[in-house]
Amino acid sequence: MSQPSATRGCACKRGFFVLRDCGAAPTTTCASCARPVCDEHRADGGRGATCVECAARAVEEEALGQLRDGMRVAPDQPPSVAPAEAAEPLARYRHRYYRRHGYEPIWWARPDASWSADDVRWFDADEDPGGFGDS
Amino acid sequence: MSVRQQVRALSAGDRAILEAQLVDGERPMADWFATFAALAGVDAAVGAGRARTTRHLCFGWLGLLVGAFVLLLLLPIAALVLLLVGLPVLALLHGRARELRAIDLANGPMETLPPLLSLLAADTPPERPVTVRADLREPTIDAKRTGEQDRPVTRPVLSLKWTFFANPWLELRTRFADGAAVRVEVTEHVRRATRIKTNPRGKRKLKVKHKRRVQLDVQVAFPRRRYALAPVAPGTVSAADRERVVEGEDRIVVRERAVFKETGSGGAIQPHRIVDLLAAAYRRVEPAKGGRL
Repeated sequence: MSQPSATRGCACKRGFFVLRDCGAAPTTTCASCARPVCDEHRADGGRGATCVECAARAVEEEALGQLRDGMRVAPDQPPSVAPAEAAEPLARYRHRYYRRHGYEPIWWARPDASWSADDVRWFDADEDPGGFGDS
Repeated sequence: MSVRQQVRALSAGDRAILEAQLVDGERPMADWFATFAALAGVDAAVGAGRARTTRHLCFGWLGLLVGAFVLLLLLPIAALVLLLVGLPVLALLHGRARELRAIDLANGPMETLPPLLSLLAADTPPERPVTVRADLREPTIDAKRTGEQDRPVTRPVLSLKWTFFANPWLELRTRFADGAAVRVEVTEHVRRATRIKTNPRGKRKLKVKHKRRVQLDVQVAFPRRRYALAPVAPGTVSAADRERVVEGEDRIVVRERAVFKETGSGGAIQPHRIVDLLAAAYRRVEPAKGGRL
């Protein structure tokens, strides 16, 4: 665990259909992805102090493994938790929903390499739509 | 904690909602969640209390009648004493049952709203007021009855009556952080079939069945300054049964509707059905400019 840089806010993303920067003052750094994290987005459950997004990915990988082994996984329902305490369960549900339903959230945040494996939609003026005429 | 203590622990506003069983107001999402979570806690205690009171009433009446009959044969004065003591106790229990029934909320909204509000809070700025109009009364009360119909029957069915109820129990309006105006509506239509049957010996039986059709409507108005209409990929399967897109000058309005039917009435709606409709609306647009919120 190290102290985060004060110049950037918390790197975790708020939102479900649309992702935006949290931006709160970071208090620590994620042990897994090394991004600055605020208190709200810190997950302390059993995996060291990681951010809720890394924790969600780890839990989902575990659940996917259990599913492969024929075990039952938690139902696919949004958490019934007060919004102030919902960061961790919501990150887990969000990750699961995106994977299972193929939903690509709209990205209204600063670029973040830790989301490179996830499909998100953002505006790219230089984006080349490609097609059969390219080659 | 007893039901009375739980009701007393509610704030004045929440207690007023519990008594009226109607919600209509504007508050931040966290406040709504706190209200519905507190009401759900009370409602669970009320449900358990009602079950307990019903059990006590059944055993009470049975014990009183059997005891009074036996004592009447053996010692009539004791039977009189038993009735004098037992009847007021049962009257008190009936009063308690009536009291609990008056504050028992419908299960559908109480189980659906807390997770839905928790999820929508993620996209709504914390200080922004959210409009919620909810009807927490049971779906098959007289005030929601819309019509009746006598159906043709053949023996052994002696009569069949359909009673219809319309229960629009939720309208929620909020504005997400990206400027999208979101409206969620849930309407439940219930058909109660009351059937009287007879067997060859002439014994009659009354059977009551409920079927419901739940209509979920989601409307999202996207601001044009941020979004453009996205082309629909061929072969895309939508969660919605009906979709309408209207392009205005300054906004794109996407309306999604899903309908499902099931037996019973007043049950919870899986919140993921509403999440799927909102996701279907967001799939119809793409960002039209860069930047951050």
